[in-house]
Amino acid sequence: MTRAPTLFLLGGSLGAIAPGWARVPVLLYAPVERSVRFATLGAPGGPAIEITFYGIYLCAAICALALALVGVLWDRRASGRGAGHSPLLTAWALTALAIATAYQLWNVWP
Amino acid sequence: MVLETHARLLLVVHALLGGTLVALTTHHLVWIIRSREARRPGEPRFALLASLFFVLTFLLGSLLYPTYRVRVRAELLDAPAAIAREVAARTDSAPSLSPPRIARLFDVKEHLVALGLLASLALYWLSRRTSPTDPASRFLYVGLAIFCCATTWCGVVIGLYTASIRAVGGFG
Repeated sequence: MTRAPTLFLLGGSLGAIAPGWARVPVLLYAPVERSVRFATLGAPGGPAIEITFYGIYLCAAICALALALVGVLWDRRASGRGAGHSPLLTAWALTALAIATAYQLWNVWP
Repeated sequence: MVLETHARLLLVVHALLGGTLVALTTHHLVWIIRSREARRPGEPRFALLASLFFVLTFLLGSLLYPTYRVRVRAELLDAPAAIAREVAARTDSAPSLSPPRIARLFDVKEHLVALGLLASLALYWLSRRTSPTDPASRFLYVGLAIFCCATTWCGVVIGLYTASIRAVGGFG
């Protein structure tokens, strides 16, 4: 029964690139003002120093937990029927992790 | 900034946790690679410890991050006037890596360790459901362990490199 952790990985990887690629609004934290706003990355009107990191990985955590829940339900429904392992899903999850890593590195590479 | 007064202490603890995490993920990877026929009895415990230390190190780093972002990045690495003063005060040669590039290198670390944490939690969950000896899930198991190990090594090396900029001189 490896669908739940595999979907957790897939969801987290997609959630990590969603704010940058799909312009999903996230929480942006201004450490000097100690304020938070909900906006897309690079949205105008923000303070000079704004931390996007928390919002991006909060989005990733929410997506990971949402897809993990789907995986848990899928594993539960499929228990007793089949091996509970999908090589195709594994391939998708590892590919998503590789894409998320490449995407983030491409955006910040020095 | 939140916790700014305790930033140095937190940084030392963060570094110690990071060093432990490198040891744990490396040890775990070696055990997974070696357990082709039979699973080592302590292997699931290593998956638990690695993910636990990953969470702790990540949380501590996240608490420190606002202080780094304002006091180091904004006031030194992204500030041309501060860089000019720093370079003028030193007698060593020209920098080989500019301060803005050092700041972006630190961004690389942030993203790598965040994705490494995700992989570490997935690996821990996987260790509760299957074994590295299971041929069906071995590829995922080994892949995640390699990714976790690589991200922790990158995190420690880039973190130490960034923190040493002023300690051992120059921006190179």
